[in-house]
Amino acid sequence: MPDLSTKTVLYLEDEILIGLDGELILKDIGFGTVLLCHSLEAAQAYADSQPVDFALLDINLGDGRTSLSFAHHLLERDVPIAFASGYNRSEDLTADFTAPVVVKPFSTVTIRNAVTKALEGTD
Amino acid sequence: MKQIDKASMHEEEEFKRSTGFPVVGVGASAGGLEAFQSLLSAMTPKHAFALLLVQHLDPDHDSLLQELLSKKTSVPVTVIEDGMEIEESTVYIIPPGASLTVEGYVMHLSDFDQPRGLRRPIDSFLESLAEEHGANCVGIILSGTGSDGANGMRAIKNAGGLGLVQDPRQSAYDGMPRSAIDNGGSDLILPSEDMIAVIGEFFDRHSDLGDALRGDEEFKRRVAKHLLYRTGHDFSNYKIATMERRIARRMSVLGIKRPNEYLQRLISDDKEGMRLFQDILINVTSFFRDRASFDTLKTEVIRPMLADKGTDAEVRIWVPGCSTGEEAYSIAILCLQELDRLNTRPRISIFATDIDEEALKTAREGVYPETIADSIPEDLLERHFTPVASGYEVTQPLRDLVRFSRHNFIKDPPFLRLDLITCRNVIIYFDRWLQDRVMPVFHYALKPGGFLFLGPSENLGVIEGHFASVSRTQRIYRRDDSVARPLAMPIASGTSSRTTRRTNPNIKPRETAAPPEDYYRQVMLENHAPAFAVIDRNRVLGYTSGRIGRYLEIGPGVPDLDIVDLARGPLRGLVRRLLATASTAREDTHSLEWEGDIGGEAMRLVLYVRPLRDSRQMVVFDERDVRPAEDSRPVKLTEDISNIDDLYLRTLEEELEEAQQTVRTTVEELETSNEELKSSNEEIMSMNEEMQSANEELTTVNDELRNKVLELDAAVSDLRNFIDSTNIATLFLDDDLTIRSFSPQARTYFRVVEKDRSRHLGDIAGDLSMTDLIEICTRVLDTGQRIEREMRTLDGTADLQVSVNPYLTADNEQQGLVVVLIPVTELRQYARELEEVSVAANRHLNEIEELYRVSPQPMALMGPDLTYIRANEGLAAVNGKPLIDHIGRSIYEVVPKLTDQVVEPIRKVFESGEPILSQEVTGYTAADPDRERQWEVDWYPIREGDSISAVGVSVRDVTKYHEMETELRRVMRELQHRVKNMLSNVIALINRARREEGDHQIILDTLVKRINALATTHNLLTTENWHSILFRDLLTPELIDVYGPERITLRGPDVRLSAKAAVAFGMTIHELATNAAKYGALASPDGKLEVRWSRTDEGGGEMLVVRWIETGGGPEGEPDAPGFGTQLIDSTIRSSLLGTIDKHFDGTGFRAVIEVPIAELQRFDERDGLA
Repeated sequence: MPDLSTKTVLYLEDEILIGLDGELILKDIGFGTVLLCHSLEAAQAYADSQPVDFALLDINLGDGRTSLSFAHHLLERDVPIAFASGYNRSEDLTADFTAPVVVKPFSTVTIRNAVTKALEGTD
Repeated sequence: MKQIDKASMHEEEEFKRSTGFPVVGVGASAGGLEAFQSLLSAMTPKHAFALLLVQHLDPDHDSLLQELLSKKTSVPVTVIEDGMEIEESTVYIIPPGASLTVEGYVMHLSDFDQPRGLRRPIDSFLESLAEEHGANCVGIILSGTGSDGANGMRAIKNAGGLGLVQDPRQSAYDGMPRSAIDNGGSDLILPSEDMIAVIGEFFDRHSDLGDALRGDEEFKRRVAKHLLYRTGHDFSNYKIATMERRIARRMSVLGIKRPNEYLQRLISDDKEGMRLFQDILINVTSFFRDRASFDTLKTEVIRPMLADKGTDAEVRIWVPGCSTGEEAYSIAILCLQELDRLNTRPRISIFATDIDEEALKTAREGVYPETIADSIPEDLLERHFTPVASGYEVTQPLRDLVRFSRHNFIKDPPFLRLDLITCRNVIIYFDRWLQDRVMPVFHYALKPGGFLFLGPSENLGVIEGHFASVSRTQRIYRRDDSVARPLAMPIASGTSSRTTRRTNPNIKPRETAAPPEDYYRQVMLENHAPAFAVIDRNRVLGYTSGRIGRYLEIGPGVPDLDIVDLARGPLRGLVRRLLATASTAREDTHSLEWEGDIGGEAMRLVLYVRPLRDSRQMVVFDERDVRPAEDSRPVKLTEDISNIDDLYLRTLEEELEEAQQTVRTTVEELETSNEELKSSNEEIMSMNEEMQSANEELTTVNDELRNKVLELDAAVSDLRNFIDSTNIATLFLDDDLTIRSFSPQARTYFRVVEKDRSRHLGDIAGDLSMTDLIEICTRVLDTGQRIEREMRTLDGTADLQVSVNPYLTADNEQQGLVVVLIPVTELRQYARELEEVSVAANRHLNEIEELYRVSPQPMALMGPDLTYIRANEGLAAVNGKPLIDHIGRSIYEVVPKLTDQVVEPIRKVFESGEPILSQEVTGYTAADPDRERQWEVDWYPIREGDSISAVGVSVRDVTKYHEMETELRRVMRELQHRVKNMLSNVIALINRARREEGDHQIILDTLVKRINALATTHNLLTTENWHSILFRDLLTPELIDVYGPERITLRGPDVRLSAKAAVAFGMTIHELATNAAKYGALASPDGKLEVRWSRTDEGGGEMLVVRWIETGGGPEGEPDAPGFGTQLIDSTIRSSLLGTIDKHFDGTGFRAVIEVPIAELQRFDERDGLA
């Protein structure tokens, strides 16, 4: 597990409560900065304005949108990502991606594993 | 047709033989069928010869002969066709209307060229057979009338073949057999069933004998001796080869192998000698044989011979060995032809002689078969022959020229003073010794300068000693007058039996045979010394003594040998008288004494005349002085008497001569009328033959008809049985409606019995109306058209189909009626029942059809060509097209968008015959082009016999279910998602709570409240099916329900929030309310809260502006540290909803202004909502 204290994680989750909780968990596992956003626009704004070391993306964003194209965007910028999904099966939406998927609600353990995996992929 | 005439035959004296198997020719006529059947029954395939049957057949009728004969033998029976080859062990029969000849082993058919009645098909056939096969053939004559075949059999025998004749006692008609036998054409007479065996044995034996006899000279000599004894004819100088052949033949016929046996037979059977004799004599002759020779004869002989003769002159011709007369008549014809060219007509006498009496008989009759037309030029035939039934007859003028008589020229004295001798058939049979002796006879018999005409191959050396040749090639010679030879007669020696002389009974039996000269001398010595002369019956000098010159004198001119003419002067009358009286008196000697003067010389004579044998006489001139004894005193004649009576005597003599002439004439006239009677007789006979011919043919036809009748009987019997077996009531009626016959079944409806035949229909009682029936019958008779009518029996119990048909014969003539009755009652009933059943079935069918049509269950029937055979309204509705637009249309036309799913299963069902059930089909039809629907389809095979004729379709629309199912699944998923989400939210709250520090009870309480708020929002959302809720409704439960309407004021338009926004905003409101309750206006009972919202658009998009106004509460300060609530509110409004929140704290209370873009509140997820 690399040192996350210097890393910034961009966390996109459209549910407020889950997002807040998740933010704390991300802090718990060591991220230095957690950028919580609840919409694609906000996420996009963060990504454009700040360096991001990791992104955790909720797949389904509630209004029928998914974070998948944003994920592509991040991957192009070599940002390792992980997905969070509220569904048991991610409906193959993430089939194109090698990024790990955590199931919501996630715990410290599951998120840590996902982060590790994602970051190792970049090493 | 030529007779056997080949030069080779004469020179070789071998019988011509064909090489190969023998051919048997059979002739038959009336009664021949039976005879031939019995002949044939003995024939088997091992008999290696062919049988050819010529029967007199009626040319107008087909012959059944082949059929009838085939049944009698295992040997094939074939009808002859022109050009057909003859094969061994086969029977051939002539077809009607044709005549048959053979050429080698090939048969030729041709049309008859004679009218019926004059035909002799068997003769012409057998003659052709004899010519072609010679000794290698057999002629057979079976039963028949007439005489056809007699000549043919003779030809066969002459050629060396075998002649068999059916025993006349056995044959049904014995005319033909007897004729053949009488004409010398039979070797054996026997029953027809024995003939095949005899033929077989004959050919086995015949080849062996010839060689055996060749060396046996003694045998041949003895046979010749026997023949002489039996017949009086000496054959010892006949050509050896000829004799051998003929003897060998007889022996073969009799089945005798050893010569001694045959000799014994000759001795014991007195007929055998005659048969052998006949065999030897059989020769054949024809008219104008060797045409060229006759032509030369005409110009070189006949013409000069007749040319310089005056009318009184006599031309004398002799034909020795004339046989059946053709040669003699040929010469006669030439003479007659020549006479026409001359002015003078000399008297022509032709003497034709032979030893064969039978042949002479034929010659005298002068009737020859029509085949002579081949040898005689047409003009001559017409001039000198008359057509008769059996051929041609010589005309009277021709007949008168020739006199036939029996004469053996090798021992009888010849005719004398001949102009021409024609001998062309006989000398060839003589050996050299005999030939040497015959020539001088001819020489003597001819006048000086007379002609000799011989056959083609005479021995030249002998001839040329006596004759000069006129045309050697044509064998015409002239008497060499310089040669003087004494005549030595008789040439032949030997004795003969008196008893077997068949002919002329007047001829005295011969005594010793001594040379004539001796005899004369003897007579002279015994009786007279003086001069004498021998004359024949015509007073012609035959012989004179030396001193006869005193009394006889040869006058000037052509010498005349009539003794009367030669007698000198007064002796003439004397001699004449003497001869005249001598012929009538009975005494042996006649004499006349005379005294007179001859040539100045006184003379006293006694003339004697003494009869000699053969009608000759000796005239003696006895010049004597001495008178003889009393007993033989001559009649003295003085000159006086002679002078006085001379004239008278002369007159008497002349009258006598005249009388004799008259007698002769009368005799000739008698002969003529006799001849006329003969010809009438013959005419009658030929008519008879014609009738017999017709009769024969009729008999043949009759035989065949008899057989046919039998067959017809059988056919009739079959027909009868057939009618009886058909069980159909039938009546056969005549044109007058009398009953001819009826089938047994007819009795069911008519009261008829067997004896009712010939009764009128009207007299018969029946179950039908007879008057009606008669009327129908009458109508059919009139129109010739059949009538069918249904009639009911009088008692009404049965219906009948009555069919009245004209009865047509094989020639389509109408001859009555056939009435057929068929009971139709049952039929009618069946028809009725059938009708009913049919109607019921139709009704049922219609019901089912209707049911099918209106059934809501969509159904259809597909044909193998994928067109709709039938369909119902239900299916039409599914497909969205009218029902009529289905029938006959292709599935590609009706549901084009589904074909890739439905065509395959249809094909499968057609092929496999197995149904396919519950196939899912998804797609679009014209019924709802935009909505994808789903069906469950059953395909089932419709069988017809062994094949699938159609596929039935049954369709269930499962779209709704499908949709519902899909929806349900979606809902389930969504629900799952929601629950999960909800749980996640709750867990998030709990996690947050866990991080809180402080009083656990308060923490828990806060948690519970928050969870409740969440739950409330969710409840709200649930009532709205999770689609959206009004903003107001969000506030109500959190505020009014908790704090009551007196303290809470809500004011604002209806604004809808999406589920997500509702949950977020709900939490926000809860936190605000909680804060208000903890620290704000709602902490005290006087505090009031007003929430006002509105929609505004100030250019940045439509915003929801919410004012949270708290009043009347205690002083409120901003919490020192932002708690979770504040975080939540900020996160929601700012981060999630992208709005702003402005908080104020002043003395009156807390105040916030929230501004959120409406767009963010109304992001409706299409997955939201469970509708």
